Amino acid sequence: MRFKRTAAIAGAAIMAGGLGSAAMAAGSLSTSVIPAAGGNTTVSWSGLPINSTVFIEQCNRDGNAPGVIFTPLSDCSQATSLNPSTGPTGSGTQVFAMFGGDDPNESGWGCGPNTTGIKYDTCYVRLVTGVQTNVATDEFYPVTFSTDPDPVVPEVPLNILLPLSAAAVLGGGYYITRKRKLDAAA
Amino acid sequence: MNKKLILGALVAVSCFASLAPTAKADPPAGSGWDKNPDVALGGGSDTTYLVSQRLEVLYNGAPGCAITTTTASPNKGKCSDTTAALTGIANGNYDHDVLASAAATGSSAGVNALLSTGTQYNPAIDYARSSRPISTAEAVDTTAWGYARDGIAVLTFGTRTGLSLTKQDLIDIYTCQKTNWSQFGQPAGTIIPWDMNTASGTYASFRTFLGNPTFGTCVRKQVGATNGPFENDVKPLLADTGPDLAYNTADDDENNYIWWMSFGNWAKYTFTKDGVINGPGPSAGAAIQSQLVTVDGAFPSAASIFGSTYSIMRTLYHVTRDSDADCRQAAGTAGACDNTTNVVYGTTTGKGGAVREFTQWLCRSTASVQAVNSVTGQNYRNAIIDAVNAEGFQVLSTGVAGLRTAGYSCSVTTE
Repeated sequence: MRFKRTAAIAGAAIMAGGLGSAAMAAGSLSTSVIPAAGGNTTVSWSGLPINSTVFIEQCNRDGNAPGVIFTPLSDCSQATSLNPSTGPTGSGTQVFAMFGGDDPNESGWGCGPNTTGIKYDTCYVRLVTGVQTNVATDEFYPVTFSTDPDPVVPEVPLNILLPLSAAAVLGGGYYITRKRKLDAAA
Repeated sequence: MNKKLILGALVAVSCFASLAPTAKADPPAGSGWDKNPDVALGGGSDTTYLVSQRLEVLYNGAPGCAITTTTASPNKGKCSDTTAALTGIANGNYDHDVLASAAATGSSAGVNALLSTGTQYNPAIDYARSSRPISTAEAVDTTAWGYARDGIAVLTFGTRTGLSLTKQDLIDIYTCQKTNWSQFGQPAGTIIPWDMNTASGTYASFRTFLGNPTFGTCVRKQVGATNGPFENDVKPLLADTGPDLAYNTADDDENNYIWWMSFGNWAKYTFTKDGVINGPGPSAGAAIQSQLVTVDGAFPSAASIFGSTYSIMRTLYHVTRDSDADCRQAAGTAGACDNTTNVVYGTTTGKGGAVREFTQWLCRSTASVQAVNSVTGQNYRNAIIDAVNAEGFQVLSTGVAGLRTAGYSCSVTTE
């Protein structure tokens, strides 16, 4: 009984994990592919200080990547920057509107194929708590921009998705088979 | 004629010519440049004190004329121009004027110092900083150049988080028509609305939003003070004992406080938005944070202020005497702006000319007409934007209709 329930739960959990975004240290995005003209992603966070401020910004580089010189003021746009409360539990979500093309804040750079200035094919959602200039604990989540009207969201790489899906199918199949046998015995 | 006499005369003439003073060259036509470095001072707003200093530092280092560097020359530091030809770019700081900001006394005090009927600052100022619009009366003598946008953040403290209020709710609180948080669906507690220094532009901006109601007697000032606390720093509120002169009693329960301040300042400086309860100094009492309030359904953020979608918006101004810098070709006369693109009109010499040229640099419309920092390689339009953003403010978005005055990156108010 416990094993059957465990197998069903494990199968369901694997399926749910396969559909969600890749887990990050504190945050995640609902989608990492944005239309070329701009669009929304929902940012989720957990484990942050309670009732504090989390800044959410669109930036042109991963400030934590090796060798990258990162200046928050110049490399992140203020035009779309948000600052929701982390909430009473340190967890929450926020819809984040990202621009596609040139930064509306006249910085001279932009994201995606609609950019006329300095173009970055991959931009980043930056999460930082406390103050915007804190570069010690900020995190970056990549976003690309697609001209496809229905962009495919590569949430999980196929080499992980396929075996996970197979395990879920086997787990679910085992449950169904056992149930039928038990029902038949009854 | 005696050849020796002629030769001697020629030598004498050439000698006298070399000793004659250098002919003064013409300054760039139609400008405030006079090829002499002037020192001009600004004063007024506390909210814009730091951003003004950033802008002044940028401008002071902007490229301009070639200057005389000869140690023994009485003209050292001045432009070395000897002909009408410019010796440097004219859209930087040609004269190498020096601008600086005096300590803050509030927007009203600063603007007043520029009026023909006003009282001058100490030290005497040549331009003003203001975080509120100039009045019709003030516009007779001054022009306001709005170069940045800010929002008025409404704050609660401590455990009172996630609050959402309407403009009418705030009126009811500040006129003492509603006095308990339970009337807003919150855990009960006597509301303690705090006042603010009346010379503050932040004070004026909030009251204008509320429709200038008369504040009720429940509105708090610090113990013994006749004016409200100075803007943009919550620490004096948190350190106050309340009327009973005892800490940690009901009348100084910070969880019941409500106040307001510049969003830009709130976003950038935790030292002014958070503090400790029950006494001044960082080591006294427990830490307490301020929390942003949603007003009329809008939450303040850089994005909502840049897009002008937040509820309590304001423009930040650099204010000049009309005669020094105006958007009217006949500077100082009444009427709408009649400028050509990127041109500021006004006086042609001295401190007034320096103010005029700084204003023109500040309000140039795009990067294509701005100079480039000769040290960093950054275009000054981007540098101005960075300076504004560094203090939590936003520049005037081209995406918001009617925000900028045609031909400038600023919004201009004149008589």
